[in-house]
Amino acid sequence: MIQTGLISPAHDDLVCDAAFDFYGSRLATCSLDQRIKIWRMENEETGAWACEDEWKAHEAPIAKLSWAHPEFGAVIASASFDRAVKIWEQAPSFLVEQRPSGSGTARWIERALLTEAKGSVRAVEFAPSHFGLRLATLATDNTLRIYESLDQQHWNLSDSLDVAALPSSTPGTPHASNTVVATPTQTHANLDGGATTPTPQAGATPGHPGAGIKEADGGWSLSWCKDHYWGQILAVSWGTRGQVKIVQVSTPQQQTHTLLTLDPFAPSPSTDSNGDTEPPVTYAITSVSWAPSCGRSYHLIATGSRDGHVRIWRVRPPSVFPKEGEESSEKEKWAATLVGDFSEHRLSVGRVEWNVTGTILSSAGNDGRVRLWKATLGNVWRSMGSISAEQATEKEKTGEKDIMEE
Amino acid sequence: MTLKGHIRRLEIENCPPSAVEHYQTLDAIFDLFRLLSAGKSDVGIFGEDLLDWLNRHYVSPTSQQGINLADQERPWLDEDFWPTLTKYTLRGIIPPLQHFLRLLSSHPSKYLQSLAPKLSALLEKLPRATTVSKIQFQPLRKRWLQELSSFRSEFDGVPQLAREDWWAYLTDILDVLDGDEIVIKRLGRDLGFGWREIVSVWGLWGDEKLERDHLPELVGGLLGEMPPDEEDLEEMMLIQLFSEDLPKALDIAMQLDPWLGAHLADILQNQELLDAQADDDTGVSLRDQCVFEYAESILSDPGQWMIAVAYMQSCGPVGLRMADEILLRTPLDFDAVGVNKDPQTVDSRGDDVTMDNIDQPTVISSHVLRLAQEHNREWVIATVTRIAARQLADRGRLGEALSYSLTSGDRQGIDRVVNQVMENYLETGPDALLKFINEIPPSLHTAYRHPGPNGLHSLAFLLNYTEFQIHRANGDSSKSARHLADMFRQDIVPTAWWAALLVDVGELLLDGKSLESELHFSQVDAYELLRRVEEVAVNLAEGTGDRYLGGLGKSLKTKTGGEKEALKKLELVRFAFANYFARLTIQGASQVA
Repeated sequence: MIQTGLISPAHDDLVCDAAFDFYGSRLATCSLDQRIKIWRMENEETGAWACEDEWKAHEAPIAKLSWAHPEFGAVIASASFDRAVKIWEQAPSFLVEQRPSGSGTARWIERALLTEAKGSVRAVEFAPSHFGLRLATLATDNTLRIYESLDQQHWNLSDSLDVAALPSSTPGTPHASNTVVATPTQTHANLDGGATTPTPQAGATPGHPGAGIKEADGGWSLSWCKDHYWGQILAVSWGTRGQVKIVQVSTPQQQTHTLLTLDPFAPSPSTDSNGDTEPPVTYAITSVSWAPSCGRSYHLIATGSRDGHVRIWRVRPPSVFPKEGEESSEKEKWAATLVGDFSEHRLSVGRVEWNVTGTILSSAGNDGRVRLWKATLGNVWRSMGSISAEQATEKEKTGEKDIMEE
Repeated sequence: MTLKGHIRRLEIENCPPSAVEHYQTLDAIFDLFRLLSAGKSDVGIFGEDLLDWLNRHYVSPTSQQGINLADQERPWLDEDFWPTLTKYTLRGIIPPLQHFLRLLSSHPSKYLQSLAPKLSALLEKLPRATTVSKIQFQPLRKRWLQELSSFRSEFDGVPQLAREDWWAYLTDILDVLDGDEIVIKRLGRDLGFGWREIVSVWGLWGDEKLERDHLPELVGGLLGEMPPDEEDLEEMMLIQLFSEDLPKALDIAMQLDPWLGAHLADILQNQELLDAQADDDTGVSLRDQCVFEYAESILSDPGQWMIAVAYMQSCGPVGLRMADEILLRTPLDFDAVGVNKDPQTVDSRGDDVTMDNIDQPTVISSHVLRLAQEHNREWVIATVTRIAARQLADRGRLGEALSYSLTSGDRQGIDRVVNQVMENYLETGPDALLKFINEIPPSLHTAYRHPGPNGLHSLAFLLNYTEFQIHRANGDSSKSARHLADMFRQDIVPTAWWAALLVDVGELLLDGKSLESELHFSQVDAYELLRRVEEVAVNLAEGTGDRYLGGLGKSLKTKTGGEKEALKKLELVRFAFANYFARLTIQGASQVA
């Protein structure tokens, strides 16, 4: 794999997010400099990108961007530390006047300002287009908010819930808690003696989320289930607890509730509990990504964590056609298994994301490398290789070969 | 293009040797696979086929080595001479072996001078399973071995003192011809042969009855004596093929080259050597997994994406969904020129026409459409068409946008185009409507001016309103009036445009300066229109008239809701009606009179 383009400098300060549009032909970036920039590839041969438009979008650093499905036009949502979410729409090109300097003809209009959040908004993602124009946001007030728009002009808050307070399971399920613990089928412990190992969050009391947590130590992330068969479902992670809740958004039949909780840090049921055991050390999840399922009978959810781990969960929805011998209670439950647990990054993982077919996972970590993960023919997840994010001249320092040399 | 064709092309284009070697490796593996999966063969044939495979793909000695020796006056002095002859023998390459044996008639040793040509003559009679009939093969081979035995007696009669180096080398060669397994293996090792070469020559010298079924055991035994290089994927691949460990073979094949794995898996599944059932864990069959991987590996090549999609589409429901995702993300080309066909099959009375008859979209890649249509992926076509309509509308290409929206049955898209055209009309006047009408085929005017059972009222309104504006521009007040009245009577005027159109009615009512001017509206129509004016006015007065004001409100461009200004305009319309009814009455009276 080779680097085909470089945008440098892209912003005046740290770049917080970069999001490709549906076709991968445009890139939206946001930064601590409070600006959003839209880039378009100018020349496929040289890999040069040019800035099509830029503007000051918020009063504080912008944490995340999300593109809507192109059937709604060119629409972007931005989430910021100023506690606001804004929806931007590109004006129809034939209505935009040419700028005198000829620097670009695109113009983005602020369509909505959503200010319900009581903390920095750290995650935003548009729902699958099947559900119309709909948006989920998550702020450091631990509140998940769902907004919808029927006419692309007006946005309404349709759902709002405290994910931290949401029970781990739906009342009435056969088991006390539908929480999946990490009994990994595959673990790669790869900690070097000399390397910096991640430490629990300074100031945070392990195992007690909410007490003494600094926002800088936490992670807030969400990802929509890309399938619409099961309704509106999200994977959500907040704070430092390191859990992911699979949440089903309210329907006329039922309120918003948790279908399943993924928790790699919960003590396994088999360990002896003498009542005096210390609560487990937990690490914030920085990124969650739900893979497109493409008709497969199971789902894949990936997480990146401050403990340097990339985890892949295989989530099975309730059986539509129950297998012979399966109890009725089994067939109605969501279940998950940890099928991959990788620590190659060693340092905090900032982002995980799936490709469009849900077959390759990419992760980016503080070790300065982008790593790729794929399942073998025997369905065992393993590393496909890595790419250094540093310049080519610096490559020798990393001591690790890039994919193209493998 | 076949694999062999591809290799030739690489060689012609002077591609790096490593690239050529890679494909030569794949070719060798594929050929072996074909050989091993062919049906049962006659005695001796399988061995010959296996030997032929070895000699084609792993050439040794090379032609150059042979030429180097043949060019020498006394080749037997070259240190490579006897090893080369031994290799020719082991690999059953008889003609060059015979040639060099005949050359030995010039050797200093008088014994070798006579023995070597005799051996060459004997080799001429060597029966091969490829050259004699299957019935004759074994008896002939038996007889030949007896002749070899006679030759050996003469050979063994060479006095001890006369036995130079050549005697030991020829002994080895004769032992090979005799089928001495231990010597064959020893010589193989000495000459740098691996298990691959030994197993391939075994069918000629070691066991002419060698069958495919014998291979796993034979290879297993050889590997014990000649361990393979486990880092060498090619070698490991061959081992798995010989050992018939298909899942492992596939795993290695995928590592060597996903192309190989995908095509092998496909053939294996077709031959029912691989389970076609979806794996419980993955939800797809092993063959589909291999083909996915291959398809994904070529997806990044911009010239190969269609092939990749076609491969994915062969992988069951999951493959189809994956291919859908790729098709959906194929960029649209807005520089492509649209072709506006005017289909002759459209019903001129304006009855429903099928969506297929609308002009052929070109902004969408024809490859995308073809690949989606071939597998009935209607939802992909509908989605891509909706996106194209949206993006065309955003670019001001409203006529095309409408065509695409009609094709996909996207009512929202249709309404969006209509609203945009009407907005343009409010901004710039009737020219905007005329411009739009010129962008769409005449057949559309006819097809959609009446809403019909499909109920596209917004489009019907736009088409009719444009027609009204055309009549008005032409100064044809009668036609204009009739048109407006028709529109209201057929209920195709959206509520938001009532007020605006009623103002147009008012202008027509006041058309003509004198009482003798033509009366454009019938009495019935006039009453019906007035009723609507009253309805709007009453609602405006009560503050509930907002919904009638869409078009008029925008055209008034007031800072407030525009209700007051609208009411004033409607007052004028009421006055116009009063005036009109008076004229109607006078005309009626004069007719009676």
